[in-house]
Amino acid sequence: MKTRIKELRARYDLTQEDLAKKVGVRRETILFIEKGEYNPSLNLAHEIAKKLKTSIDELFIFED
Amino acid sequence: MDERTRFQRYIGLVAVILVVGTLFVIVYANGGTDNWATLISAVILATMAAIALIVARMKLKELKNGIPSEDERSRAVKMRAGYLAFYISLYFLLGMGFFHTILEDNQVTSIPTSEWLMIYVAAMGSIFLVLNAYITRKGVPR
Repeated sequence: MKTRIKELRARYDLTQEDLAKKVGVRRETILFIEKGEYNPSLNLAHEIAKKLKTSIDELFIFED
Repeated sequence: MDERTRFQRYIGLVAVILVVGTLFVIVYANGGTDNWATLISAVILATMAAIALIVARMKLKELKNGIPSEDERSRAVKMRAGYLAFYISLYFLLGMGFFHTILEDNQVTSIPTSEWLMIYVAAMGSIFLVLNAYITRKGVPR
């Protein structure tokens, strides 16, 4: 799974730490999600999408 | 549970462990039979206190910066490390049992069972810590 979190963070000028604080997780969690090494729960994915003013479909790119 | 309560509970737990550990060292020292064991226990206790102090400082800094002490990923890491540590330590216990039996069969004087048990608990804790650190760095396998 790929994500557009990094791209959208840059658009809103947010660091990993800023985003982590906004969604209530640790910075490393955002790092691992960005690298595609951790699949967030649906709640967390929804929360991140909301903070980055997008939808879950836009944020995560699922590969077959 | 909020972060402040979680931090206070951590401090409370550490205090209880250190007090029990100190009592253990004092009781052991008063026994006066094995100076090396007393010294090693005291060194282990001092190491535990130092690690607890470093962790407490890190946790306090995170608390002040509004960083949660744990989240869904760190909980997943702990669960994974806990379950792997449990299985690995079962094999470790089995190995220790065989080793103990071999020592007994050969009439080699071994340490008492209570000390074997302490080694086992220490090994189980160490395996968990190592796995926790490894999975934290490498990520939770999917």
